[in-house]
Amino acid sequence: MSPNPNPRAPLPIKVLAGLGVVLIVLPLAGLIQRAAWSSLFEDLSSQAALDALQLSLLTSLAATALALILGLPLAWVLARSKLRGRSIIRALVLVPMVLPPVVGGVALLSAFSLRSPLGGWLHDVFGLQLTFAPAGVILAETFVAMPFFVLTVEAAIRQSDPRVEQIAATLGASPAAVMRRVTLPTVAPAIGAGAVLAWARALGEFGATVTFAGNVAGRTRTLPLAVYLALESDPNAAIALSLVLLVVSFAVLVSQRERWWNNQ
Amino acid sequence: MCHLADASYPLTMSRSSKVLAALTLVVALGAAGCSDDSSTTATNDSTTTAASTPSDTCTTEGDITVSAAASLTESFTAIADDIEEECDGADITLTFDSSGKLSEQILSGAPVDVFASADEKNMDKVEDDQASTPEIFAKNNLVIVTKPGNPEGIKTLADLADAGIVALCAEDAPCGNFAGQALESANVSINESNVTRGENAKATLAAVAEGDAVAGIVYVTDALAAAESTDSVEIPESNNVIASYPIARINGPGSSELAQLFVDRVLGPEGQKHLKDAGFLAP
Amino acid sequence: MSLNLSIKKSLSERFCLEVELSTPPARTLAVLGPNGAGKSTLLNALAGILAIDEGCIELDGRVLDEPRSGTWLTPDQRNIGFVAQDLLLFSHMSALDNVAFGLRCRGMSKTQAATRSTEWLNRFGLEGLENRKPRQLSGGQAQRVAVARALATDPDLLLLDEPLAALDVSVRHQMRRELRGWINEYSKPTVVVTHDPLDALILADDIAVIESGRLTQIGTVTQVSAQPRTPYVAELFGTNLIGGTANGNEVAAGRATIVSAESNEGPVFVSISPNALSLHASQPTTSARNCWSARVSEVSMAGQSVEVKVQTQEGLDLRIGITPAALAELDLQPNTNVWVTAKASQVQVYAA
Repeated sequence: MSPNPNPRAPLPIKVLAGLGVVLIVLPLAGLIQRAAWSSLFEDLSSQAALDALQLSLLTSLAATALALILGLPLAWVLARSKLRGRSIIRALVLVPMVLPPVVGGVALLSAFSLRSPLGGWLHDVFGLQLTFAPAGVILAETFVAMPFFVLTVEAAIRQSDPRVEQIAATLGASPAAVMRRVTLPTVAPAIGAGAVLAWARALGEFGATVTFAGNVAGRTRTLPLAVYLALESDPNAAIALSLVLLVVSFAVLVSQRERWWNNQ
Repeated sequence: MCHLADASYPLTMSRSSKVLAALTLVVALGAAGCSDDSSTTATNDSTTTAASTPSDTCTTEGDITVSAAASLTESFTAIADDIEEECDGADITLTFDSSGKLSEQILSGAPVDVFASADEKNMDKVEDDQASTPEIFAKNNLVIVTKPGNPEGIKTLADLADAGIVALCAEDAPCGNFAGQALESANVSINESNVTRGENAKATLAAVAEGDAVAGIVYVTDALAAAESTDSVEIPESNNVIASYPIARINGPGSSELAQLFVDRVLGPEGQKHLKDAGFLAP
Repeated sequence: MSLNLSIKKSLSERFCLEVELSTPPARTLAVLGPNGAGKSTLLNALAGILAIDEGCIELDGRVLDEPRSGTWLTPDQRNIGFVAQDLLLFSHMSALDNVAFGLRCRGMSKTQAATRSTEWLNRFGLEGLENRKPRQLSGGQAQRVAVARALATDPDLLLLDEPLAALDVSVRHQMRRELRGWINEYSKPTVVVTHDPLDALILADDIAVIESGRLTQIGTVTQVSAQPRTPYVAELFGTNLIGGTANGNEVAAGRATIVSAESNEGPVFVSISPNALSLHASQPTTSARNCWSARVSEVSMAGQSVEVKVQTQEGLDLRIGITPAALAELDLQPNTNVWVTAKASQVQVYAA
């Protein structure tokens, strides 16, 4: 027998691993198999589908931008500051990752609905209503997506050596210059990865959105909501829209493959 | 080994996925716990029934799944509780959603033994799966629900046209279909961009009770169940739509005996009392 | 240009750095000390990475840090060059951009900074490597880039933290020589933190020894290496250090008496080089004024020579350097009885 550098997996492990793959791939294959390919283009170019696509793109990109603007400083504080209770803050910030999105929606309602003090104030003073408005969708999507960004970027900042920044300072770089020319470029790949993850999560957001922002055509009916609604009335359209989401998800993972399986 | 910069990511991911995994486990255990509970009690009970207690009146046993329109949540839960209490070996699983969703599920082979729809259209859709002739067991009216105290002063269907965001059921759910008919008969059209669509009657009601929808159209029964968090405004009979609720057994994997018992109970005086309590009209 | 400092900085309840020193202009000071003695704390305080608790740091008449007067210059205001032990090059920048970084921070145009940085790289023998990323450089090349980066801004003070520790032994000697050259060209004060006495001997003019947060010895390289004042320094430079009391030509050290050529009075240190001591298998007939009966405690190889540790009957612990040939001839084992001799003229005595 020649020595095999890769230890051979025992049969039960192979079988279970295979079943694990089947569990994930089978439903996806079903989706593709059920798709009405001939009418796919028509299904996707219906006004309802286009509205949902456009709204989803707009809100998910806005949510990603918001997650970036707020999440980057947050990640930095979590990674670098000596703030007391930092781990509590981190846990709180990551809660939306594991919270059922519907619960997130209810939480958002209690904070920003017209009947809540803050939501009422926003409405009375600025005439701003988040519920049933695209802004509400953006808020809900940011709520669920930002933790992915913060987690990714915080890990990268934590990895980078603070002494490199100190060296930059001794070379004459102001704190702002250190941030711009050293810290950010060092974690740039993680910022990209975090943004892509957050965007994908925002694009797929359903529970928090429908609960908080409602399901209004053209205003808060994003792709996943449209899929859910169309499931009875127009299954073909629902599946066509699902395929769009599937393709996007897959593309995101492929784009990030070096981060996931990096030891090949 | 890989270099550090890359190693960081899977490291943290694995930590978070551990959390996720732990959470999933908890959920799974919870779920398993539930079903284990019922199944063990069911088996335990059946052995005890067989061995010692020749119980009182009810000897029907087995498991069934009942799919019912969301508006039936309160009344059907009460009926199922009654039966499970009387019949030691009976285990009834209830699923509530819009009748449209439920009929779709039955058509795609969901294991359902009894189907109670909020309209006849969705009952007709599952004709091939029916194991008994559908019978109308209740009727329901539509009503306008508003915030407590009706701050917008909504009095008629026409007032909904420019009231703000109105919650309606999805067009394929019976309550959405009926609401559409009612609005049409009153010659009222609401711009779709002012309509939030709930996936069923309960979700539609929640948009008013919990969310910021100004008003909604739901069943009288739903409004009654949420009387604490909403006010209701009657829709005149001329514009109202009477929803007829049919029930039928479905060719499912559960006990047909228990399924028949459930249907009989819904149609019988005890079931009718629960339905009346919930605000339904007699068939 | 000169550096004056008098600092107090406590890092924990148990550790406090308390040091006062000044470097004359354009001289290189090596800071030696065991791990955890406070060497890095001192460097960080100079660089402005740490603020001192009390005292003052003054560079060429400019106060960098003085808590009493509330003076505190941030690192970017100090104009100091810092080369870290692990170099800490900017991994996302080319070698050229690393060197140009400080110049760009000082507002130099991109092209001008690039021209100047190329000159620096060329001076350091790094032609053609301008566009390499740090991970594509060898250890020695990266070291040169790090030093060039620190010197390119013409700092008023150059700080080197264990500058050769990260290098392979094979390139370390070469790099040490090059570093000496660069430091000589750079005509401002330099502080080198190291735990390698060879670095201190070759790179520095002066040596400051820090032990447990305190300055235990300071002087020129010759002074410190020839006349150690603590066991740590004696060990570092491989000499025998004995404390005692002088009375004329004789020094009483415990039960032992050591005879020197010069005459002294009062508390003194006695330093005897290991090579100035001779070993004999039997009692020698010799003109050496010092002759002790001793027992071998340890025999070890140190480079090309053999180091023998003995303890005399009077209780003196001595290390003696002999050749491998002598070792074979004497057939030394632990516990072998030997005789140790030293000429009075080889015994250095200096006031404690």
